[in-house]
Amino acid sequence: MNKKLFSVAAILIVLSMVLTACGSAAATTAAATESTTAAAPTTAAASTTAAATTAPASTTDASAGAPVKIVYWTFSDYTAGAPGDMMKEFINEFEAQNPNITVELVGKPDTDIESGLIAGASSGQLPDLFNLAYNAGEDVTSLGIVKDVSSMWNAMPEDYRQQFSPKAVQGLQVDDKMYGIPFTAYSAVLYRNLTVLKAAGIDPSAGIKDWNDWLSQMQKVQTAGYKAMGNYTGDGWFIMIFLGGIQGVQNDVVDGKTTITADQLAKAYDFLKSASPFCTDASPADQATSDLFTTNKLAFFPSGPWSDPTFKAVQGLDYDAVLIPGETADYAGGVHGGEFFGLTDGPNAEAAWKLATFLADKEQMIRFGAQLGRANFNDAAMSDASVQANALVAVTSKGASMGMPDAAYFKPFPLKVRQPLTDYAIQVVKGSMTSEDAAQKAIDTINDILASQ
Amino acid sequence: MRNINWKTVLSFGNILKWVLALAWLVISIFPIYWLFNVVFSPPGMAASLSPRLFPTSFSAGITKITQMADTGSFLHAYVITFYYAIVQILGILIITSMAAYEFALFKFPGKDVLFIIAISAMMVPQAVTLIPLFRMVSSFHWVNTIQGLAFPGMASALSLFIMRQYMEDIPKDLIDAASIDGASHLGTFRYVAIPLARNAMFTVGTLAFVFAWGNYLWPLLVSTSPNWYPVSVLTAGMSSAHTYNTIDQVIGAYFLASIPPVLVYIFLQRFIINSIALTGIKG
Amino acid sequence: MFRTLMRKNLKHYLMLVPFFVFFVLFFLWPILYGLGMSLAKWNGVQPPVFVGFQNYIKVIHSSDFALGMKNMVHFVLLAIPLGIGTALGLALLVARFRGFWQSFFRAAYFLPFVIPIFLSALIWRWLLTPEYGFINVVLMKLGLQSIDWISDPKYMIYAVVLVDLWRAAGFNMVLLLAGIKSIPEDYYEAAKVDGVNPWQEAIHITIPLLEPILFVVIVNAFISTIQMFDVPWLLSRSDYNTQGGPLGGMLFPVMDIMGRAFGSIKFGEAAAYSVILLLICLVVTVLQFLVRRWHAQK
Repeated sequence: MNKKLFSVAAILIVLSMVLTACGSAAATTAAATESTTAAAPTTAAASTTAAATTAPASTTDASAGAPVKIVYWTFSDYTAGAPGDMMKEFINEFEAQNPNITVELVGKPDTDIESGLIAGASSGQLPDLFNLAYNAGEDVTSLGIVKDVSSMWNAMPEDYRQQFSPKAVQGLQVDDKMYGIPFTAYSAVLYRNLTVLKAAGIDPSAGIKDWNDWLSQMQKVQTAGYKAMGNYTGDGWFIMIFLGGIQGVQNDVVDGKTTITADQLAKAYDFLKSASPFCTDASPADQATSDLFTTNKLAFFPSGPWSDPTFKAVQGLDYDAVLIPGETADYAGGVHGGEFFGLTDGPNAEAAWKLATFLADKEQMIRFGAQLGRANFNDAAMSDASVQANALVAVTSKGASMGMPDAAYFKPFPLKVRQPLTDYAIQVVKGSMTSEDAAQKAIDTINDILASQ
Repeated sequence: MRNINWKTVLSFGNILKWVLALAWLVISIFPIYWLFNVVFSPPGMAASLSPRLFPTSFSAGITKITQMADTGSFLHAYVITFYYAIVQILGILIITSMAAYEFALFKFPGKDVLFIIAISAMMVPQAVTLIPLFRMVSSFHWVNTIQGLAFPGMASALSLFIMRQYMEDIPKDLIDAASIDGASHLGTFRYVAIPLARNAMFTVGTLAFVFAWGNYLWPLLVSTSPNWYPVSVLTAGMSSAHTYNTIDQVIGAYFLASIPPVLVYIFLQRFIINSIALTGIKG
Repeated sequence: MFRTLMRKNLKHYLMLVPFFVFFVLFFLWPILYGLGMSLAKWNGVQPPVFVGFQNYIKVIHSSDFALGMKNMVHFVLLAIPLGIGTALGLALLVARFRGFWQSFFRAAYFLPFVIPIFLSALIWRWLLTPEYGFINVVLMKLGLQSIDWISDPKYMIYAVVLVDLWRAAGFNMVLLLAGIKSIPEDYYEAAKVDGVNPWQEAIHITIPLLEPILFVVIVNAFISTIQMFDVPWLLSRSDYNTQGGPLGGMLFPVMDIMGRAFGSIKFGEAAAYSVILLLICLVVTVLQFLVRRWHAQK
């Protein structure tokens, strides 16, 4: 009996190894790799001590001619569906132009890229090129694994460097170092359900002038029997959407303290409190809120551009995307951020740089923006007519010039500081604290967190 | 069925029994039933609103599922996860059955101490060992390999515990008889103990399968290449905060991810439940 | 003498070798490493710096530690009586069925435990959505107010209790049911002669005789509560940067450990917290054994 069991087991193992080998040899469409077998990624010099890391290596020699393989980690969004197809197209074009370079494309959710870099840092298992959000930049640069590309950047032609948004470039420059090149960007927008607005007697084309106007529109929506908005107190990022609507808000760290003032935060808290009677308890992170919007029960839905595909998929949904109203007229709120290309110190850095500069270049970014509706930091590409024709991109790019960034980029700014923002917002909305008190306490807690770095 | 004692059937006690049992049945199954209904409903329909009391569109559900399956990465992840699970299960079965055999049926110095040390492993959260384990595994060059995925989990304390409980059931006389007949220690193990511990092997195997299927933290570290993503890592990636996936895609993915463990459970549930039950008695 | 001892027992030790090789290599060594980590300040890349017990002090003084402990205690006080009570009730209930129906209910009640946990958490998050989730719709139809299970710190712990109970009741029930089935019929027959009704039967016969298994169930429940991670992590949409939701209503110790390790990148602190948790676990378990022995001696 057990002989049979063992032989069955043996067959199963062999079978699954064969299947795996077949599976990995044939590139899958979604998370494709260009050319590797499962056993390939070994390190050349993996150290077992806790000392500084070495980079990954497949082959060595990055000079033109010798074959090089670079490992590129990007967001799983960009390796699946339409963006995935486009990315693969880019890579094919790049490899055609650089026949000695092969690219292994790896898609991971953003948190996993970061934890993968952290884990990889201590064991020498790093990719050559990666994408990461600006707000996670300091985490990885402080580990010492991100390459300083300032010399390579300066060696690029002037008109190449001019393409990019100056703020985005500056964001990557700390002291004399530069930690990557700008890539894609996002900015929160306000989705409006036009059916609900019209039913409430609001003319959508009139827009929303400022917070007071917005609140009165919310009131009208509620009177007509609908809900205005979801509950935005549950996450620090949501609160920043409104905080960013106050002119003068800077998300920076000076002398170890945040530059957000208690007054500004109190105003944002007050707004949330005024809006809460018109809002539902469900958070925008809950599926229910999105469902309410798509079933014409909810009027306003501030969110990022990633909500758009969901809304587009619903047939007959009459909606648009506009700038998030600011506290005062002529200003817009919202929170924005972006992603960058980072390199690791390794033998393949030259090749990785080539790929990064290729992908971030105007040609590619135009296609990314126009066909996929994703904004990016390449101003030259963004101002192209085909990109501006995409309504969502037009709004997001405008939003990025106002509002507030989602972190103090490349400064020690643990994202944990978002927790006090929400903890105290809840107290204000519930009425257990005044907004001034709560805001002050929130800022104090944030500064405590910054100090304990 | 001919002689139904209606007095008993309709007695208060009996009705109460059935009402309570059915009530909990509904509670147990309802969320799963809900998910089923959400998957099998038209795309774009509000996923979390309106009571999902009935599935409304079988074809839409099939479409969602096949859309996800078609991307190819799901099928690949299935293969990887099965490969990982099977290797780990085999390893667990071999080493724990050998150790459990000793702990269950023989006496030797240090037996209790060793057993307690092994079992106390159950009390340690995975978070503690994650990083050191990863550093060790990568220093062996085991990242993105089957060894890296499967080997660390093979010394499973819970499996050892269950195996031991079962093996204690084996009559000592059989063991003694075998050795009198001249069988070697290993021989007795192979030809006497293992066949009698079939139930245990199925149980441990099934539990280990469910665990391997749901294991997320470890494969996340070890599988840095998508070639090696198991299902858990793949599905988690689809639903992280700022992805552009629609809920229909996510729900299709989740559904796909849960079919295998449920199927395995349905086919083998006899063994799991029997074994956990027996473990409890001896414990 | 030692040599004869060895020769006699060598075959036993040899059979244990495979297990313990894996055990020492992949378990014991990382734990010892973790112990070492807890005494140092380390971010995973730069060389660790020895800081003695500083990490322990930092952890114990942090407000998140107090919060995590508070939530854990609160959860224990609610979930263990409720959970084990429910499981016991279910076991007694299912024991009154026979044959097919018994197996059916037994299997059906166990199903929630097999469903991958991220799926369960997702569905329950939908069901518990304020105002629109099914649970709240039912509550409102009954004339009660909708409860914000997910983001109101007052109620968040109840959401965790609810989901955990739903998942684990079947598992614990199966253990207890087996115990009930192993109680010899004679006890019940003697009781029937005395004219005992089902309730008295349960209280005076079944439960006392179930004590050994109840003990196993309770000890196991404590251990898994201390290690609780998946359910609150998923329900509160935690990530490495922020854990536990608004005002940390669902913050549990292991979640905090993960946040310190992969969010703040302070492996020393995370390791220290883990050691503290391990000690708590040991103490609680030992206490339970002692209480049991003291009870048995009375």
